[in-house]
Amino acid sequence: MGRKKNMEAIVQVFILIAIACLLIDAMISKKVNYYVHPRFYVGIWVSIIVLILFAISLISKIKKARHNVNIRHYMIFAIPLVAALLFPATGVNSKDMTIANSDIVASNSEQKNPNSETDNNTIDGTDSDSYDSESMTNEEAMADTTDATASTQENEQANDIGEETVGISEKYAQYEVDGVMVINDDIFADWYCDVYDNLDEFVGKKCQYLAQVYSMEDFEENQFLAGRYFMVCCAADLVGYGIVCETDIRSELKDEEWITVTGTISEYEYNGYMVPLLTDVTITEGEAPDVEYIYYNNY
Amino acid sequence: MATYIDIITGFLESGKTTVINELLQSNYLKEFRKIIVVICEEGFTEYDEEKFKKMHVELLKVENESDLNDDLFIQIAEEYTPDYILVEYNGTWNISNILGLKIPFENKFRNVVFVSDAGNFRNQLSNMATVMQPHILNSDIVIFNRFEKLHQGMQKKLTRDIKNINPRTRVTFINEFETDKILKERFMTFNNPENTSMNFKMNLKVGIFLALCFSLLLIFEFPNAYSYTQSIVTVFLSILMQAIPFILLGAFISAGIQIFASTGWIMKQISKGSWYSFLIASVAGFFMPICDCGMVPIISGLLKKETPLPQTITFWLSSSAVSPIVIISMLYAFPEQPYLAVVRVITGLIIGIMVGVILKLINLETKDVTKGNRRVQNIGKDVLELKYDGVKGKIEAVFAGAKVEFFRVAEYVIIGALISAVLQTIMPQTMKSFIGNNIIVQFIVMIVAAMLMSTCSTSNAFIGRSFSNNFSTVPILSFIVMGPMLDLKNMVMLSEILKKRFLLFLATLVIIESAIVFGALSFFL
Repeated sequence: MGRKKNMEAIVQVFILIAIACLLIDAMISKKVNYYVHPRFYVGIWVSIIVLILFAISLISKIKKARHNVNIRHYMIFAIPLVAALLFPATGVNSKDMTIANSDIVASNSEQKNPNSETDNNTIDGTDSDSYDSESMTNEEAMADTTDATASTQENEQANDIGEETVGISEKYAQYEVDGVMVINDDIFADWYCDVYDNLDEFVGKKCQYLAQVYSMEDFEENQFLAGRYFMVCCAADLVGYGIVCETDIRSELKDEEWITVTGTISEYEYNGYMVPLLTDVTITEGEAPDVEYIYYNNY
Repeated sequence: MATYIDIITGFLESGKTTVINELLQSNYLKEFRKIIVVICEEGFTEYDEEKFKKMHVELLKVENESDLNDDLFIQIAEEYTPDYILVEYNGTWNISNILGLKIPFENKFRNVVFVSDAGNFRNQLSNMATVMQPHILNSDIVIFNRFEKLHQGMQKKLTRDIKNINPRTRVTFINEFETDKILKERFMTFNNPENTSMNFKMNLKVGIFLALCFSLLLIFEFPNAYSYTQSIVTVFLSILMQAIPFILLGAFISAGIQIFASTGWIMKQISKGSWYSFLIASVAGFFMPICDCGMVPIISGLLKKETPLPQTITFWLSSSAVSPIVIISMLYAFPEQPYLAVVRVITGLIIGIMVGVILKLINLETKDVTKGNRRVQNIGKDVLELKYDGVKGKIEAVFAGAKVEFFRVAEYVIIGALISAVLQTIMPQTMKSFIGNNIIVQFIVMIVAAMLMSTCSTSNAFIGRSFSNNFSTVPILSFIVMGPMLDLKNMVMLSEILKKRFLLFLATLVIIESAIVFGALSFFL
């Protein structure tokens, strides 16, 4: 004897439970870190509860027999479910992510330096209208950027001496251990931006942080990039940022290896921009952290 | 071979008995040696029992809905061993009751046919939607009869009514039972001409499946391809993950709007349709702090309520500019230029209001641009089945409505996220080659990026900021402001209720206006 069931309800319950299970798995195994910013955690837990409630409310509907139901359009839910099972997320340390973000790493040079440039500009442009026109000329006349940057750099110095000299680098005094600023993941993003914005203030200071090794095409033989991936919102906006390091043991380092790098900050001209450079570098083996990305904590 | 059960359902006097008589005399059933007709109603056309006897047809009556029980088909099988069963079902009874009965394994429900009097259909639908809808929803064929007096346009409208409720069912206005194409397809048991095309479809499906498996194998075989796919998948899933909470929230708000009809002052103001209401519509988004993908279901909820189009569109376009979350995200993304947050709000408001006013001036109304006849489908099918009394019932209805909404919206989000994940992985390289120093080129590139990248309104400030190395401020602003307005994913989601032609028109309008607004802006910034 057979009995007709409501296939639609069965399929819906299956989808809801499957999504909920995948989300729970991602949350518990911390794989969620690879996808979204921690600020979404609460939302995802709430969603899991709601999805399960939906599924429970559907169970009574399964018995209501249906004829000629269209379940074909639910096939689309198979895409994310299958994709999540077949291609589980792995960290950037695995080789797979190199290609995934190779364009980001490769474009790092462009990303990083102009970024510092804008930041510089914006700092001194907070209360002067000259900023925008200047930044535009900067971009429109890329050839002249060296001069432009130099001038902004000077402006900045002037500004900083005027008002903001105290503060920025002082912020990190509390993290100093034996004269070395120990930068942990939670303050890395802030610190990194501050270093770029107020480079001259940080010159000569020693710092230490956990990073991965990246190589750039236009680097010299003894240089590498000690950087991390930054996440603003989700994996769609992951960007790699780092500081150029000079070392004699460059050849011993493998790409994407985790290291703790300690060095002295100095200035370096790269493609026409002044960027920080770590010299006098000591490198110790680092351990891949549980959470491999740096999250912007703003908002 | 299976013993088919066909169900003919419809209201009293809809012409079911005629259909059954015609079927029994037709070619379709002539091969059967033993036919049982179960009658759950006594119609006006009486059956000629004498004639039936000659045709090996046995009549069975079920007087009450409560007489439908699990023994019905089992007893029929034991007593008569029929090779075909035809049920005339009462249109006021719950259709799931018969479909849910236990049936012997050799039995199979084949066709559910809904019969209706074409002249009365619309009237009945609006008066008895909850009774009628389940029957149409479960049907394979809808037969309209007594349609001769209707004009051609009306037939199309009726077909659309049916398709709105159940897109899978086939509609036929019947002339000749023997030659009707749809009936032939569904009732011919022998020499089925469909078989060959069915086989072809089957082969095609198997082929696609094999191709998919093969490409998966290839992906797994080559590490490069694997990691490339993995990065697309990661982006894809991350977009979905951050969207899920917002989709659910939006679904609940949307269902809430539909159930609690007059949600307060704002909605009333938007619905008023006065000029003053544009202002309220444009700032109303401030009180709904959710991202744009959650906003889409709310907009469709409003449109289904037939709020005036111009104000609703103003509300939609401005909402992503005035949302408090968006303002905060702007302040965080451009901490050194807080005035950009103000600029974003103002430009968003201006574009929203201008589009609304233009729509009002050219006199476009909601019903001109929404798809089909959505009156009955206002609320999800599940909600209609609920009897909601009091607050508890209403909350239950919101919950059920939100579930339906979730499944519908999620489909579109999945498609949108997939497209934008693939594009985002490809875009950065292609975009670089486009970038010139020309501000107009930058503007165009940013508009295309805004359409394709499907970034959330709450986070696109940060993505816009990441362009700051290659673009000047105004094009970036245009990306941020227009992102949610032109977002492909949102457009796909809105196309569920709005006509594609109107969406295209709207997008063009938004682009032209933003060109004017941002063109003017570039003189100031």
